[in-house]
Amino acid sequence: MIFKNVTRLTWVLKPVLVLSLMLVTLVSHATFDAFDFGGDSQLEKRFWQISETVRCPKCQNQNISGSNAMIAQDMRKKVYQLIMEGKQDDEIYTYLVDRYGDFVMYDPPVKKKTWLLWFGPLFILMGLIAVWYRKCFGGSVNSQSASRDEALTEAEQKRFLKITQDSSGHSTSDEGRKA
Amino acid sequence: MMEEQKKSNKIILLAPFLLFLAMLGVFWYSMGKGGGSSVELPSARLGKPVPAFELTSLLDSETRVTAEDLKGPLLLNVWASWCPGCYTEHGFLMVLQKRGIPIVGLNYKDERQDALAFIEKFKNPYQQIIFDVDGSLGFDLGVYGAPETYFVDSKGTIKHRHVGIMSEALWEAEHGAIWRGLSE
Amino acid sequence: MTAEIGTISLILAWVLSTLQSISVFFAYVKRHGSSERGFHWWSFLNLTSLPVTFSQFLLLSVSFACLVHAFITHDFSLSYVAQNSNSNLPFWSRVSAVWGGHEGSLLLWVWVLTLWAFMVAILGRSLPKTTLTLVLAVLGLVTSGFLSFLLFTSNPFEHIYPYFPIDGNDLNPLLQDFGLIIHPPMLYMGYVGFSVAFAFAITGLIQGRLDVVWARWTLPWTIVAWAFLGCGIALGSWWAYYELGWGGWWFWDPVENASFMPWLSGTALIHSLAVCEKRSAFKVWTLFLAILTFSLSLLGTFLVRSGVLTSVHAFASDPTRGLFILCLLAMSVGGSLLLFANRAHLINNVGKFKWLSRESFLFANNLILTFALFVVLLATLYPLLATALDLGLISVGPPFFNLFFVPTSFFLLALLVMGMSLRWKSNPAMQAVRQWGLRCLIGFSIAMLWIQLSGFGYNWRVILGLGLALSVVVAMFDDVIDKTKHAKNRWDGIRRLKPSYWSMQTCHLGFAVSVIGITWTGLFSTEKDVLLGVGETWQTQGYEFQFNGTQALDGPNYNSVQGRFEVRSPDGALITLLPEKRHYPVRGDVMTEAAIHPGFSRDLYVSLGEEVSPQKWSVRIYIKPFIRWIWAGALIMAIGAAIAISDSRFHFKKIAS
Repeated sequence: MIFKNVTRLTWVLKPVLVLSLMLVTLVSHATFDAFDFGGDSQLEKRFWQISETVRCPKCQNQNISGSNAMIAQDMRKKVYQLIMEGKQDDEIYTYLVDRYGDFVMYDPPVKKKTWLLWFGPLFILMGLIAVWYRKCFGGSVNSQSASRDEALTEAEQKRFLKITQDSSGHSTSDEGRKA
Repeated sequence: MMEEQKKSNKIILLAPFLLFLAMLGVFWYSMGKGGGSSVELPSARLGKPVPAFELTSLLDSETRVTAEDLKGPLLLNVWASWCPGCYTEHGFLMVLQKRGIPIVGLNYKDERQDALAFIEKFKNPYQQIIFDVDGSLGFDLGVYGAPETYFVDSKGTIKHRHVGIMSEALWEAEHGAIWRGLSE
Repeated sequence: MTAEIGTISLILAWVLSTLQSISVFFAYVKRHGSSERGFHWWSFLNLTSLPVTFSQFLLLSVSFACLVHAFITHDFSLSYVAQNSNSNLPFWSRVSAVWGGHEGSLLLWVWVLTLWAFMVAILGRSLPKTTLTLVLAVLGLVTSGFLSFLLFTSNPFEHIYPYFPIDGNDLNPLLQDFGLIIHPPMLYMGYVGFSVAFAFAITGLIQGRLDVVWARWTLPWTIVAWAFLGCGIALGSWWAYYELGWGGWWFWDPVENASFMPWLSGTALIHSLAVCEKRSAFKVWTLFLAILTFSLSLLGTFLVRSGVLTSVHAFASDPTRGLFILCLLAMSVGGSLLLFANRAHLINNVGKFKWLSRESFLFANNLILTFALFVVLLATLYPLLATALDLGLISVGPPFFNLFFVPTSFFLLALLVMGMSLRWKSNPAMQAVRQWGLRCLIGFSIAMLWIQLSGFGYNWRVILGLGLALSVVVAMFDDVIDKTKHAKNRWDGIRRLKPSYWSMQTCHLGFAVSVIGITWTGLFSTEKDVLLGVGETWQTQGYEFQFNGTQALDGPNYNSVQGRFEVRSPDGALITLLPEKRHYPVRGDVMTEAAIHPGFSRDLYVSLGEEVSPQKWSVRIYIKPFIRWIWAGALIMAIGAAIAISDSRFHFKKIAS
């Protein structure tokens, strides 16, 4: 239908399409610029590191290095400028946060509102260590109590072993295996 | 001793369920608010003065505009000729202008000719238009996409921001009341 | 017509599964009042559980086939087809588009569920009848819940009458790819597969008994589900890597985390089941993990489709759907956790052990995995929590996750070096320390040598990561030697080692291989944006990239600009790379197709930026050392899983009547 006609006229339309693709790209859909660090690999490394930890404000969860959005590229340009001006990493982050809020930091700041996030894991860890300690060092009361449910009776155990025998007749229960 | 242990065991066993209930509560709440990508980013400049700048006017490239000119109460509307939403929003901006609300335009990352053509064609709702060709003022404001509207008070402090198209419905629902609060 | 058949099949399956679960649970509760009629009714349910489960599978297959048919024949009267397909879409893409959107992928989910249920019904014939009926009823209940979700909010067979489009919206170009064919099916096999362990756990709680048979039954199902999920995740990572154009393979994105959490929990579950099976210990913990793992699958389904999270991978959201899933989640997970709290005290453990023993290290492994899991859960949900508590919008991204996850993995590896050789119950301390010391010594030495030869330079992360991973590999060899030292000769000893042993070693090897890949690529990737004119070159690490211009190309539903790069590698080989920028006219999307040259020791990755000035392009170039090892490791883990289920202890014979 419409598309079939297009393909027939491609020798005319292709360059036009490509050109308009460029315009669309340039105007509203800028892609990444290549920046010049004058050969300083340290600066370049910092630039990449920062770009990969700053969030694009309007994207669906992308950093400014990986996004085509205009604002992402503008922020990247700004990061470049600030690095070349000699600013430190935390100054650059502060600059961006002052304008766009904590949202653009992929590494959440340690403020009162993120205490649960930063210190929660510590508490969980301590709790889990306590659980491990209790299990391995505190002789469990449970193991002594008569189990009222499931210890297999003699007959049931025999039956179970029969079920799990392989065709050669060897029992596959592996208590006998040296561990 | 056994009783106590049984009790503490019961609590431990109940803990996952309780934690799960808490998590459900969080989900319920965020669904009510309409989460995810539809959420506007709150402005980081709320309560702060409009950042210092020095740019030219769109209509007359000789005229200089600075933050001093933005002592309100007024609306600062970020727009551009390449922004589709701005075309939709324009009609309502004219309505606001007719109601006597002062709107200053911030022409964001645009070509002067294209912006002027827009104004020619659709009329000018702004008492002044700042020509921010590389988006430097926009960046300092925390603009991340057009259209956006900033509510500035008489001292030049940013009181509120709306991201997206401004419409009659939204104005009635929320922003109109904020404006009235500003202009008193 | 096919659409109607599709809907009717779903309705029938829904009726069947609902009836099945309600009648079984009701009858089970009542059977203790044992009347003659009650007994006959229960026998009836036992007899019909296999046919009922099979019918559900059949009906879902019919329904799924109808949807596939609708896509192949371009039936744009169905809104789902119109939204996700187009007359120019290539054939294979049309088929995979069936699960490219919410409704269809959900249908796939339920179909996989009925498939697993059917497999359990067939392979579980030697289980006690009551147990099997209960297990199938639990699976039937889950099926019923999801079918309700499908039928009431997300029916893929909905029509757009009376004016339906001549042509569809086209599938999102990102999804017009091989990855869509295998990634979701693999993932769903995994997510849904964990429902089997879940069903066994719930049944155990209902019956109030859990024995070693339970653990041995659940283990193979869990291993298979785990393997599928692992493959699904690895495939997703690989797909994102070559499709998204920015060289990343894992972003700790909420949707990625939603798939990773059940995998972490599943890994813990497998280890816990292994202890449960051999030593009759950790039963309550294992029960909890079985419930937790499937709950995380359900949670993942909720997160991805409800719209509460922001992600490139998320499905389009809808408040009604989100609410429905939330209710489903509340009832299923809430119900099971309540049942757990109520009945778990009936389960008792038997085995005792010392702190330096296999049990204790496996328990530590479980706890560490649980720790990692909860940190990922907390960090993924924290932005939601912050918004709910009016604390503002916060992002939690890779820096946070890596900070916790990397040391955790290191610790796991360190435990593994010693843990794989520990004895049950108790192990002599000196022997353990000696083994650990020797293995680490050799492992770290090899690591240092490798780092030296690579020329990348030292830092503590690469030393630790590589050292520990290699120590694990050394430990594997040492353990085989240790386990065969009492045999007549080495070969005889090796032949006697069971498949379960080899599967363990293989899976751990896979883990180590992935860690090695992650360490190298995470620390020493080269990334660069350059401006290149036609004929210009850029050099790094002995590679020379030359840009040789662009040409215009055509695809079935796109137009593209293709760049040409000739790369000369340090060993003299000449490689051609052809990255593209594609424009899809129907949706108006612009896609970057990166050009990748894969290799054993590195990937070369080039993508086009834009034409900054005539004949001068901005280009992004990556060199990623050992990145393929990450996915190779996942593949090795899957092979390990396959070896595991070949062990004859999982092959149950039918009980001679």
